[in-house]
Amino acid sequence: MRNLPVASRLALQNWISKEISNKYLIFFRIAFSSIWLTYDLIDFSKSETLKFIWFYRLPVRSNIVVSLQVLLILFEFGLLLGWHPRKMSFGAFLSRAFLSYFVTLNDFFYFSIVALILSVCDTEGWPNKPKQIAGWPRDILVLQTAWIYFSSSILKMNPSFLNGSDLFVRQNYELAILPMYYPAFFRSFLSTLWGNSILSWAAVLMEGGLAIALFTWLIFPRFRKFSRLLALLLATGIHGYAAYTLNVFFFGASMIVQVAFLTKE
Amino acid sequence: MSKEGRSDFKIYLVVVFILLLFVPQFYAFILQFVGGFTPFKTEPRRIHLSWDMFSTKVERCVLTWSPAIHLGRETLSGLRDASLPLEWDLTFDHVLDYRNVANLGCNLGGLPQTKIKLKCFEQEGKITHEEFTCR
Repeated sequence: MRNLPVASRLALQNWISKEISNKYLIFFRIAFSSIWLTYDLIDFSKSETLKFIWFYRLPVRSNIVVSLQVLLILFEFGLLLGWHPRKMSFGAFLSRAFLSYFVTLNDFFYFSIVALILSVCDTEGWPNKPKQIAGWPRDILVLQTAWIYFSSSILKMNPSFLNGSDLFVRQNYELAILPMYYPAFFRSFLSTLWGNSILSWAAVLMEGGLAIALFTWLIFPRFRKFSRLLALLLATGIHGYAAYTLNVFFFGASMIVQVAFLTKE
Repeated sequence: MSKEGRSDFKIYLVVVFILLLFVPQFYAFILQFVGGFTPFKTEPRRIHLSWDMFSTKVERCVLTWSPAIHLGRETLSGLRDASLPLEWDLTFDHVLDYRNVANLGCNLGGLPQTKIKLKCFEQEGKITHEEFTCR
């Protein structure tokens, strides 16, 4: 037992000094910044966040929000081009974190945290010229992804979600307003509480399964091929469905590329 | 600083970074339980950084004004017209919030005879309809 601190320190030292190729992290940096740059350009050009602030009567001046959005777009553009990616990530983290102080969306918290982790990660260059870098920030990104799915699935284990009430509300509202095609059988399935309850249980199991797959990827390198495949299938299923019926596109796309590029070796 | 000293310093930095990153998230998650969330028994509430997506109780309404109201340069026949339909659709979590927004629209850009219609989707598969005029 006396050797435990020494062993832990050694394990930690080995983990921190482990190196990986940054090829797929560069792919992730490009995909992540493209997705959120598109989001922010549309949001900014259509004043969507300003409308949100107006309708919610939030006590923040619009010029503060506009300034933060302009900064955010500039940092995301720099990140996309790979121009001082660490500094750009940190700038994007600060801008989004300030913005999420006023607009408390989970998507914004998610972006801030991922941008913060990217700011300690060497993603400079292009995928055709990768280099060896410290591997621990990539592992932290995978751990962060696993934690999001783990806590989200645990919190969904509540009566109003599992009995289908929550999805009934959200999906029937979207059915009423979205200009998207839904087959008749699917519409009638979504109009029932039991149908939504089945989907809710499936969501909890899939999110929980995805968290386990990612934890397995981290802890048992032997099973990486299988756990990556499982994680990819689950992430695509969860977020593909959410895009189709729950009107959530950008967060889902970001999570899919996160799983796809960060678990690829 | 010696090579070993530098290595120790790097370990401390990484550990501090991980703690700064995960302690607030772990704390938010624990707060859910302290605040009354019990799996399979009670619902969680909105706590930042606890990753409570789709897990808190919500209600949603389709809100329309007839005739359309005018807010600045915008003409809105419903809340749906206020934002982009995909991703940015403006929503609130409670029927009461929709009533407040309906009245806000009335006060700022409606007429006394403007009719408000609310079709609300509520918990337990309930759908309600409300109709009232601006006041």
